Amino acid sequence: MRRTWNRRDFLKTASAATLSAMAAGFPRRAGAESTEKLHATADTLIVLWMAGGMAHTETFDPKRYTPFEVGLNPDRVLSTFPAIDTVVDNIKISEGLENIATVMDRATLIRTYKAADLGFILHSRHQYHWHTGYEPPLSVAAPHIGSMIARTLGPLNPDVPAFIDIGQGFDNGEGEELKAFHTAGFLGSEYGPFFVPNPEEAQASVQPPKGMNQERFKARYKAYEQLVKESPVGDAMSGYQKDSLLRSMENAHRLLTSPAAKAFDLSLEPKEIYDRYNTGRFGLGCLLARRLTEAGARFIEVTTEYIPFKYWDTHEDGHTRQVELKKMIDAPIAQLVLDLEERGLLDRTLIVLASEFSRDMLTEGKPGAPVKNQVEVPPIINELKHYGMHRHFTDAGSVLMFGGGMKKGYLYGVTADERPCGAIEKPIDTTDLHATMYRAMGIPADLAYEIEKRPFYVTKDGLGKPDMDLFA
Amino acid sequence: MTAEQYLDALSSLTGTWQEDPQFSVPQKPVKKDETPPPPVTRAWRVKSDPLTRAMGRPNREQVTSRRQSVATALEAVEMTNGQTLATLLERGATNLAASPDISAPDLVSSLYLHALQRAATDREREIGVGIIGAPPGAEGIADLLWAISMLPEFQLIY
Repeated sequence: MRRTWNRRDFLKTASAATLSAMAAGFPRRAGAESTEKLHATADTLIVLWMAGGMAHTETFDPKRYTPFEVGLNPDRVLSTFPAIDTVVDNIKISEGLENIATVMDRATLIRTYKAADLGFILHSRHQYHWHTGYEPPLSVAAPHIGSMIARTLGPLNPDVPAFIDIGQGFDNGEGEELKAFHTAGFLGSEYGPFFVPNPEEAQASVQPPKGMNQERFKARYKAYEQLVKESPVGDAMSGYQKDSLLRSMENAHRLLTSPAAKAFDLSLEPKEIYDRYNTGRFGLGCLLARRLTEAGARFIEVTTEYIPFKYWDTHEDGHTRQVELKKMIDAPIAQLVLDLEERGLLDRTLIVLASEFSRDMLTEGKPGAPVKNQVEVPPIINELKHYGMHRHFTDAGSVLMFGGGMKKGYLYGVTADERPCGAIEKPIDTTDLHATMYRAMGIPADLAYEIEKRPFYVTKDGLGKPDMDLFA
Repeated sequence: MTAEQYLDALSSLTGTWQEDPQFSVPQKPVKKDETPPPPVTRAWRVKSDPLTRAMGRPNREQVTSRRQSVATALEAVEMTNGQTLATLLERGATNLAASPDISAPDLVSSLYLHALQRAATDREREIGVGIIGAPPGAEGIADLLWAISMLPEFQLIY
């Protein structure tokens, strides 16, 4: 499997827009000459996005377990699952994640991620913050971190889109808000996400439209080429924009017919491996992410999908739903780690599992900065639907990393054992978490692009500091 | 062209407009015995979709002072195999194919005149007829519409 693409191939195949934008076009890097050259520890970044607020005490930071019983005092409940051992002596995680427990020796587990204080908690605002590094609202169309990476580093394999986003649809209740950060913003849509809402249908993303067979698809493109050639105004309108349009059409056609496009076809995966990933759309998204990493993708996000009150956004039935959620993520994530390791790719692929904030039974927001409660918690719990972490907690959260130069079998940060289970040692915020991720990819935290004659930094105001303690 | 200009141009060419507008606009009053004209929904009135986003339509919550003027590979991929454009072209082609008694050469000439404001050359007409078939079929018309709308001559405003 080829993993190096030389400069000559890249220049031959990259679109005019990519080349010009990267070399000297808009938007320009601000202060490029002074940018430190960094040694990257990763070539590819995979974000596994647990959309909706993943409760840390129910997943990667289990606390005292209190089983359900009628008449339960909610203040006693910190975790609704017991802890289990992992292959790392000092790390326990929550029941339901037994497969991930077996690969914890390849992991760095951050337990002290702190989400920002944005007032009344709205998922889309925190998700915007996590994905762009900036708190909304902004006067600038901020790019997604995937777009920043695509713009700065370019594609790894020119035949594979640099930024691929798997699993998110936009037809749900907050679809319009989600669109706000699923974009390359001012960087231009050359660096925007290549969407694959459903990995089982990923192959359709690189095939002719429905109802059109390959023969008709090729004939149509051939006729187009002929019409371009025969156009009497062709030479008279020579110019950069015309060339970029024609080159983009050629590149699109090449992408759709290249061998790399086979990476999108999950049916080519041996059934035994396919079945290990197949816990649903997210699991198959992980499989697609692995195949795309092998094919040379630069940035991939696989989301469990944000739909208000669904998946991790547990406003009720938290415990019951966690059982299914953990089943959904456990085997595929472990398999992804093992498969990349087997293929010699894990060391240069950074996997980051994260969520916009955590959850707690009682605390909404964080101590010292509480916000309006969104979920009613009865003084005594008599029904299973009230048993779980339903409020939105921003004082701690778990981030799990694999590969990409991070330490192995490492525990970062400490949270309190009693409510509120916030970060008490080594907290890390979004800005520094991003700085760390960018650093792994060889991008300095103070890299900036010029927009409307002012710099826009990859981390907020260029102030992010990567925590080198996380690196091996 | 911007995303909205592109879609409106295609709609004008085919007589099939966007659906499900999010904003109302004042309608010209219709006289008592007159049939109201078919609705014309311009692209700015509908929600963004994968095609318009790929073509650079920004999110309305953010102030954007410019749109890119160069084509991108993602835009080209969406226009080449995206379902949004394919469906729009199918609807347009079906509409055009329903026009009574128009010959293939005349249809090609008409499309070139309407889309590019010039007559098709003999060679262009020949290629066009080869695409749409004689008599013109909806599939072939959709393919010709696609090819014309991908021409730099159509997409770039000079």
